[in-house]
Amino acid sequence: MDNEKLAQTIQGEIVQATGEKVAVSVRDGIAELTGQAGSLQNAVDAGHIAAGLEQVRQVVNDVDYPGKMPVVLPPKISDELTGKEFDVVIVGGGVIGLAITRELSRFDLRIALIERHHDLGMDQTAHCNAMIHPALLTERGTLKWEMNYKGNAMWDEVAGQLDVDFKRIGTLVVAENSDEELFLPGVVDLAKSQNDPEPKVLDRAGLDRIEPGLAPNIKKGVLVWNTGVIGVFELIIAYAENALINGVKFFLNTSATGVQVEDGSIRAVETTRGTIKTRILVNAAGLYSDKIAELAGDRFFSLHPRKGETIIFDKSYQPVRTVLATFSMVGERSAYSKGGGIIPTVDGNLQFGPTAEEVFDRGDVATTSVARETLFSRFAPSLQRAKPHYTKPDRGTIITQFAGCRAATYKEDFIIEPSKKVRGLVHVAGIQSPGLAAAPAVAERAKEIIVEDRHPAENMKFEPRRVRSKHFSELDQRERMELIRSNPLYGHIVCRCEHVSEGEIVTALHGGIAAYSVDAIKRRTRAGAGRCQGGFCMPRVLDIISRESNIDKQLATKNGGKSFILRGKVKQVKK
Amino acid sequence: MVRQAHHERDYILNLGMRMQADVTVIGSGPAGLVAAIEASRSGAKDVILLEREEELGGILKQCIHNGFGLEQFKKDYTGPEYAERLIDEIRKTEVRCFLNTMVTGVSANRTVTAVNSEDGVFQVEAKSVVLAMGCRERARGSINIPGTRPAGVLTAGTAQRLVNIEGFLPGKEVVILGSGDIGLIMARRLTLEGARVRGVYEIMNYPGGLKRNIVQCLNDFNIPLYLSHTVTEIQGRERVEGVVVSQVDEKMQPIQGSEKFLQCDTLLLSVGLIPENELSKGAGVELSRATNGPVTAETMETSVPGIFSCGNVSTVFDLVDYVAQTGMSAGRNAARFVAGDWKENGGSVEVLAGENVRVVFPQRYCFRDELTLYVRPAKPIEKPVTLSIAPIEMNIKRLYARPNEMIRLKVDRKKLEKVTEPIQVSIKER
Ligand SMILES: Cc1cc2nc3c(=O)[nH]c(=O)nc-3n(C[C@H](O)[C@H](O)[C@H](O)COP(=O)(O)OP(=O)(O)OC[C@H]3O[C@@H](n4cnc5c(N)ncnc54)[C@H](O)[C@@H]3O)c2cc1C
Ligand SMILES: Cc1cc2nc3c(=O)[nH]c(=O)nc-3n(C[C@H](O)[C@H](O)[C@H](O)COP(=O)(O)OP(=O)(O)OC[C@H]3O[C@@H](n4cnc5c(N)ncnc54)[C@H](O)[C@@H]3O)c2cc1C
Repeated sequence: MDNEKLAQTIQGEIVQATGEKVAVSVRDGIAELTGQAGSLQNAVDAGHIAAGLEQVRQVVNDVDYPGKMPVVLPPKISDELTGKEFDVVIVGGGVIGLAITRELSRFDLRIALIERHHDLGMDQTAHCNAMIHPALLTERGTLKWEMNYKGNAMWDEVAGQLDVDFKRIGTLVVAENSDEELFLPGVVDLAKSQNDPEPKVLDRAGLDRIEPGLAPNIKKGVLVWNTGVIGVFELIIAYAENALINGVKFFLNTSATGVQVEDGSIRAVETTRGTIKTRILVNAAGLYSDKIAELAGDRFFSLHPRKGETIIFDKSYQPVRTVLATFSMVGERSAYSKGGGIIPTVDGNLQFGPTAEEVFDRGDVATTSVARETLFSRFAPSLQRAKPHYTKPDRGTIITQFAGCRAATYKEDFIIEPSKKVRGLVHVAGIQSPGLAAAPAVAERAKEIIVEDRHPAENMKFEPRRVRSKHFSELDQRERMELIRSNPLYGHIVCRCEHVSEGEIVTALHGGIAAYSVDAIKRRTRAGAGRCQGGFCMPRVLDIISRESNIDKQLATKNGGKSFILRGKVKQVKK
Repeated sequence: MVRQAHHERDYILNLGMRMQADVTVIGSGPAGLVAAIEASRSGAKDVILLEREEELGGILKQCIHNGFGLEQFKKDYTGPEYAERLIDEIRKTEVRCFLNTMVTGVSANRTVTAVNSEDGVFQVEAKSVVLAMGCRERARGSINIPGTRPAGVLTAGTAQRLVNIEGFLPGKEVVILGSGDIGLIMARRLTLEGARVRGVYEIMNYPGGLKRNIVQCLNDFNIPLYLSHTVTEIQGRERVEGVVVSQVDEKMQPIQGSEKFLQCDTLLLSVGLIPENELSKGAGVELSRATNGPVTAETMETSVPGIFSCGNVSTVFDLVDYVAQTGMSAGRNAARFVAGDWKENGGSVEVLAGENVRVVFPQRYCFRDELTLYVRPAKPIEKPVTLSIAPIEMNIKRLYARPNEMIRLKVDRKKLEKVTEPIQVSIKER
């Protein structure tokens, strides 16, 4: 089909499905949509329809709709980075950018990573469910599948070397009646093709060993062993600390605002804090990776943010050991997202989530009561049916709810490729779920692209390991004694719910990536992540931040930027 | 307040010290202080008090308003003054106090594990344990307020600490959700500090806090109280920029179309207190669904022999006098338990909440002590009522019943001697 015909076909399909008349043009496999749609959903549907055609490689969707929010670049604040020069600059400090720092520091390259927030991983990565998905539910034949499949298998080594909690807890698919039992061999076959060691249909005795207390009508099931859960906040810090050991430079509070291209090659990246020279630019900007591509003059895809919300339960409520899935839950998967589930965390807090909703704003992290109810009413009955003897799920045990957006392209697949227009530009974009599970493989692919192009020498001093700092709550009595004797601050417990000591907080504040905010401390130490959500420890953490970083308490923030917690002093200060 | 030296061997082996005690009290709020004083006065020898904060006194330290001790000391003290009285008294006893010491575990055999900077991790093996850990405030996550997660959303108690102990203002334009006492008190406190309190929004159709606090903290300062209202959204990316409040129907569901945006930089939550019972659970203590605290006898003994509980860890009391009363009972009975003065006797009967009663405390009667009942009505009844106790046919007349006013009554021990069936408390309109 020639481009014009293709465009007409797309246009026709869009009118038929949505009633919207949008203009379509196609060039080099890129479909560009312009015009006006009546709603966000229609505009998104139009993009998906165009992407549905095999000949369409990517979709640039410029269709306007009521409420559309343009991406606004932040203003320049300083010039302090101007004059700096690196071989590689990575834009974006999410798990993908971080994993890439690790792969590239195996080579003799000067590497920098820039991140717009005051801390790493705060967009998609911090709002994910920390699950290392099996490739089972990802569509075969996609890049996403390949990366998921390869990445999943890499985590034992990566998490081991980075000293991050990682457990293969498995997904347990259970049949609730004899009809459903017929599907189990199919699940086994699927799992087998996914590198899962010896999947088989388990009988009741087998199920009881893995997930005790299942309902009597559940007689058979399949354990997909390679599902894992990981300490995602620890992982972010681990990647960064390892990168620091290997000489990578980090610039936080630094937003990319322009890309300088000369003779078709990358020359520099302009940021809110000055212009950094570089020959290679890695676009790992997550929800804004289409913007970075545009700034480099290589606009060939658009992202549409899809929000996911999750509810989290108190640690006292731990009804499952595995990711428990019934067929009724699997059946409810939505078209473009995994559909969520009942997902434990390494820390012992159960999650229900995530939801999937197309939204206007990429920065939308607001929670809604609709999502809370949807999640609860969807998963609570399944859980109760499957484990009737266990305490009933209760709304009162929910400790918090959070939301984040996925960086979805219209193809709903990952983009990991060198720019076709600009030499030295590498796109690692559209990395939505299961991007965490896929991260080590994605980074390896990005590395291959760069190595193939530049042939850098190996870094003989590459250090693959990083050791985490001590967490009081994870130590036995003797280790605790030793630690407290070496540093008495470890004997002072600041967070009552998670038993985090002052020693851990001070260590985090003096760590390689020091972010002076209450939430940054929470991500690093879990102080404030428990049932009281910081009610008790927040004022104490504020004290410690102010003391250790020598800033006025009134300038300490909840989560960077202008999120100041205090608004002045009282009229007379006692004490 | 002396400290016991480490055993040298344990020190070298890095095992941490082990101590023996008659009574270990966990928490030094009014309940724990009174319990420790009373245990010591009742003859218990080694009484150890463990407190995670750097000073004794619990929540009292930050309650700089008055209204404490009207009953117990016949004086109108502020929280710190009230605490000071108790601290003066505990100084006269042999009770050993460990400050900056977090208790991390209690076992059913009454071994308490704690940690501090000086002694590291250590254990106290006691003949009796008194739980007096108080309560914590319900946080945003457990009450479902949708929206963003900016700075400026905090519990009233956290704000109280920031203002009264640290001298900082958490906000200048404040909306308060929930009409619990701490929220009411903070409405006044923040107003006095120059903040503008836009209103107190309460989801129920009656206020949660004491009448005197509504009058003295809201009415006297022209701060409006909106009943049957709740916050349905928080807005603002970095700092709170405003909240949406809505009216609710009888089922407490927001009424469509009643939404109103209020500009503010702070949302204070005063939406309930939860007894802090993680340690109790670890010890295998049975908890009550109605109170979230241990199922307790009139002696303050829990379901685990030798483990007692008192104060707000048992059930949320309105007045510090009630808290002190339960502390007194727990301390005295812990000493009796240690002394072996705990003969097997006539078993026990349950104490049940009947009609129109949300909470009755204690939940068991063991025929060992006087029975003082604490009763929280389930709903407001603004008419004369009769509070009756079955099966002893005790009937008490009152002019009204309100959930924000806990009713306390003493039951004559003699009347209970022959009781074999559960004791039930109910409230009926007259
Ligand atoms: C609700 C939800 C649940 C999920 N659950 C899972 C799961 O359980 N398992 C799983 O495998 N995956 C999950 N995912 C997907 C996973 O979170 C992502 O695929 C992964 O985190 C993507 O990482 P990233 O580094 O590409 O993106 P991000 O984490 O978004 O990182 C991109 C970074 O780039 C920065 N940036 C953007 N623009 C600029 C600029 N101009 N200058 C400087 N920096 C910039 C951003 O601030 C951000 O920190 C989930 C996603 C969501 C939303
Ligand atoms: C924020 C807040 C404000 C209040 N304001 C008022 C008020 O203005 N007026 C009023 O009448 N009532 C008020 N109350 C109710 C108040 O709790 C009671 O009046 C009374 O102080 C309760 O006494 P308590 O001893 O049971 O608990 P608390 O006073 O709370 O004392 C409990 C003590 O136990 C300690 N503790 C807990 N766990 C551990 C552990 N694991 N290891 C070591 N120590 C531990 C705590 O640090 C604390 O010192 C308030 C309650 C709260 C939560």
